[in-house]
Amino acid sequence: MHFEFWELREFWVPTARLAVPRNPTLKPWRCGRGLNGMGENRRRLGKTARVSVLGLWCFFAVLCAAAGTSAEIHNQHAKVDLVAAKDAVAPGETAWLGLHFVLEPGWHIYWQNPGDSGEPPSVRWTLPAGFHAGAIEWPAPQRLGSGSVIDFGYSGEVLLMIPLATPANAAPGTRENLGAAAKWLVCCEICVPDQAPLSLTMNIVARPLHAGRELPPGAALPLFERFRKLIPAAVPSNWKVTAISDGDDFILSVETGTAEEHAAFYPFLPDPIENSAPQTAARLPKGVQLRLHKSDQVVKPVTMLKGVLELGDPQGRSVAAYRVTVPVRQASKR
Amino acid sequence: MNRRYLMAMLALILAGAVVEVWAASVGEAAPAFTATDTNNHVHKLSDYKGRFVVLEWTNRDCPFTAKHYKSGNMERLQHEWTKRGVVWLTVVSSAPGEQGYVMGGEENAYMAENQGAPTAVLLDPSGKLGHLYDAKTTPHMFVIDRKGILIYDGAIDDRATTDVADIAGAKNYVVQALQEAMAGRPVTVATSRPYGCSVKYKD
Repeated sequence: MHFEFWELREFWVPTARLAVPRNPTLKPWRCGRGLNGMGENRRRLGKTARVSVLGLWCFFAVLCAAAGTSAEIHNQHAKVDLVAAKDAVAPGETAWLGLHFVLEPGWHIYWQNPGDSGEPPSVRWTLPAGFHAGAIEWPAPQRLGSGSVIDFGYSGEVLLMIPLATPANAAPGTRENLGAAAKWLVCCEICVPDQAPLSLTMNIVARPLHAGRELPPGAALPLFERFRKLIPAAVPSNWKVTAISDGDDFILSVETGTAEEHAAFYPFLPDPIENSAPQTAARLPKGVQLRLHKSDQVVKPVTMLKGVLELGDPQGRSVAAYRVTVPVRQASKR
Repeated sequence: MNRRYLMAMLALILAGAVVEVWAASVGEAAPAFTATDTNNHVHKLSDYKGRFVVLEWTNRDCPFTAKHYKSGNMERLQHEWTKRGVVWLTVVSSAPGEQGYVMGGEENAYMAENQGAPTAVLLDPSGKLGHLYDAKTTPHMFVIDRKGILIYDGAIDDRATTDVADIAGAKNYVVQALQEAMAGRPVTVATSRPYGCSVKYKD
């Protein structure tokens, strides 16, 4: 019964186009119970499972201790820490920070648009004067849930990257403390709101550095390299993306130059589409066409579709994500 | 005699099937239902013709529902609107063994302790009433007018969070719908996307 670890093993195998396993609409059949869990899932978890969950957590604890990440917090159903891509930053430059979540098997947190239920994580920063934290760069989400309630979020592991602007007058040689009060909702059949006071120390260094020397990488750099690939990219300039309103549906078409088998759309805003409706992708000679069912709650006509478009192979497991903003045209009368 | 009995049964089954697929839709007649409350009293929607009816889906252990109960917001709304003649029906659609499932006595004790004041708490462990209205989240709110027309379907307010601090500045859609409809005005926000935890239906 060592299934939990093996279910997660893909997270430790970085590949070019695959990092987050997709489980389209699978309802988790078992919700793990955290070390500090409140016991609400005892009913669903046998003794053997509980022991192996403990084993998994010990494994993560050892792994992260070895990696030397800072400010790690073990909370209910998630291990959360604040990490930096590099341990140092030069005045006037941008450092990349990240909220790193490792979730218990079956548990998930939410994307910027949580879908039909849930709430996205948020951070309140306490920063030295002149420092400024930007918005979270959300990796493409997974489709979670079943039936008429479909959510967008992350299971397994995710890094929510945040840019930190450093003031030009920061003093080289000093160390600055960055505080992040993180709040999130973690769910697996039931939901638990949680929070953690996280912090990180950043070294301020002068530029230019010694000849040939770059800023020293942080221990978490590989994590940033892995999750950066999942942040939706801009649509390549030679692609053509169009959307039309066709009765109860939107038809989103993408011309990429090659036939695409798989496509999925995740709207940035909660309104335009019925999340639980199946999204049917039709292969085109030079792209793909995706049919999206309009939400019943749409009152005003939708003039713009904004969201993440995901393309991939027929199994839907090797994916690339793009940010799209496309005006909606009315279908021509026939 | 036997055939007549069979025909009657068939008619009942068909009627049941029709009700099942006739989901709630704003601007149309609210689907009829019969449900039992925590005191074993039976409530029919048709009993309340001539009065406004609010349906509130609940699950006390859901953080989104807890936001409105722990702050006293939901209890306050129940007091205020039942005093003004509104029938407020709180519905529990959690299936046995799922989060939020309660027995009548337990729910009565909880409401008494929190000074909640719905007209009744309907127990819907089969999820029949929940599916009839397509209740998706807790909380998910519906408002039915005096003629039995569904005039609001959606979230309780415009702040889809679990944070109690967000209640103060929120626009409460249920209050707005009731105020507008009682003043004889059209409801400006008749639908919104409900937020919260998923309703814990039987799988």
